[in-house]
Amino acid sequence: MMKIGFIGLGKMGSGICANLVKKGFDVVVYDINPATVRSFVDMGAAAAASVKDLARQVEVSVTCVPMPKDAAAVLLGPDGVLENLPVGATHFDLSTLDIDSVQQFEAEARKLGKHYMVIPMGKGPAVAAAGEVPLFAGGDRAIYDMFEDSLLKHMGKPVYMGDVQAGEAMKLIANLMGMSINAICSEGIKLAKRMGIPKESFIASITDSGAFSYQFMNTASGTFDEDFDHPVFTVNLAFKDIRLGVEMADRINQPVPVMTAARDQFKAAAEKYGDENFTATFKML
Amino acid sequence: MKIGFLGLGSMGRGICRNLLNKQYTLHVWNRSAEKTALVAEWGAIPFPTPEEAARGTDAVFACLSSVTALREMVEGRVCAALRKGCVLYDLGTWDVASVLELEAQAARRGVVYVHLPMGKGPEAAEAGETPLFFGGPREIFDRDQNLLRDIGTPLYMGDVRAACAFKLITNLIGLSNNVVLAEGVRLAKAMGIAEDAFMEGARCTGAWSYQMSNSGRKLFAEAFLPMRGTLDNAWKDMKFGVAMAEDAGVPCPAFTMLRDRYKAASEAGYGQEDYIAVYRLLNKA
Repeated sequence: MMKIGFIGLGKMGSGICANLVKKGFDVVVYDINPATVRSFVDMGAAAAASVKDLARQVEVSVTCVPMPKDAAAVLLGPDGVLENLPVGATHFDLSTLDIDSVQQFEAEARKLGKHYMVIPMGKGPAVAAAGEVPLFAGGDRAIYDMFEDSLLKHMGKPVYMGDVQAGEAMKLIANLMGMSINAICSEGIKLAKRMGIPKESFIASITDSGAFSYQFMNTASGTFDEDFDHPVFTVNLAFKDIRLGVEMADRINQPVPVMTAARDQFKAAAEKYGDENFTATFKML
Repeated sequence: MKIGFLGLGSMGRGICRNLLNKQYTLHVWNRSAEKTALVAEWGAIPFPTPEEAARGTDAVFACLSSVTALREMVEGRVCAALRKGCVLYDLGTWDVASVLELEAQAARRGVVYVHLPMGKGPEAAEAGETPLFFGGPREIFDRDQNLLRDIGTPLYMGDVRAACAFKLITNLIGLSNNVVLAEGVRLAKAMGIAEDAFMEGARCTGAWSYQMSNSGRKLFAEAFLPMRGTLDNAWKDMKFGVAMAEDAGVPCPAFTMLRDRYKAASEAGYGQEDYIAVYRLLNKA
């Protein structure tokens, strides 16, 4: 069985990594939080002393870190993953990153004789833990084919999107669309409440109409109750994702006025309610 | 049971198809004769005027694109041709004030006005699966269950105002999601994501909406025909919805902006194309 190195055991990464350990993969982990590392050691994983130590002993590495600067810190430089992986090894990046970063990481990996693929995730922590998270794979098709059954299907539900740009773009576009639709749902719910439409009939009827969406299904009840204090995903994280998406559109000079307005709405909400659930843009209305 | 049917656009024809399949005697009228001839081929009896189509029937459905035309019929010879207590089912989508006025005018002439806007497009209407948002007397809803179930999925919303408000909110959300989808598809194409990969990737994420299932591939192909509903009609629905929000004192910045996207698309000359032609604004830039 291949030996896998896993770096970044936060909300998303821990679910996926735990599945790999439980399925019997030979996994070595690294995280800045020692308590999290200990819980994985208890589960049966090995612990690495550093990123460098981890990269040197695996055939495949996986990272799942919050921000582009965190990814650069782990992947690049003399102590980074790419430098220290064996030649011919493959790195899979679960993190949500900007297009420039993934292109830079891919180029750097190629220069060192290693493979770099992006597999950003299409849904949240609960789905990741259930092993069902969509993975938007971007990179070399031959590498994808090599790992699709042997590894990626054990991490989630992979879909091959194209090159690294296409894989990362799919994730950013999915975020842009999802967050924009969410802001739209909030306005609709605000209006429904003001018009005196009862919650149950509103939700049941929208569900059977052209207005239905994944966002509505997932958030309408909580938004109707104005419950924003139990975040599954914070306004701050939503703003980060949608900001990266609008930046991508700006870089290719593609105007996306509605998504840009949604970005501004999340920005304003982040300044006031950043740690609340991402549906809290409702409070701006 | 004898039914009068006024207005044979794509939605009206879909409903007529179901009534004929269920063996109702159907009296039809349409402003332009060729559509009347089409529905007559399916087994309906054509009439040259709306009042003749309405006379002697047990219930009349109106599925018109102009509230002025409907008002003239209600205040004129159509209501006069109906038996006392006969129900006029209005399948159209109008502003709240017009609907209240239609109800009052019909009542003055001994006719029960039921507001019955539809929740989905022509394909759903033809399949007998369109949601029917019933606004009117509860006893009529209970009495006419079989008739309503023969043409769609009836949902009791309350009085005519409640059904109207609900339908306008449905349109605001659905048509707004449609613009978000257009931006997402435009970005995906620009980033080199293939159609199948996009549809498969987005299907299982927070980006999914009913609009995506309904129009995602059409947008990818930039196929603005065949027409399902006109962009001008979508703009009209957005205007009604935003006006309702303004009257209710609910600020809706996203809906207001999205209404203006449809306005801009109409002014750019796309008003008579399918409503997804709002996408064309993104190509022009």
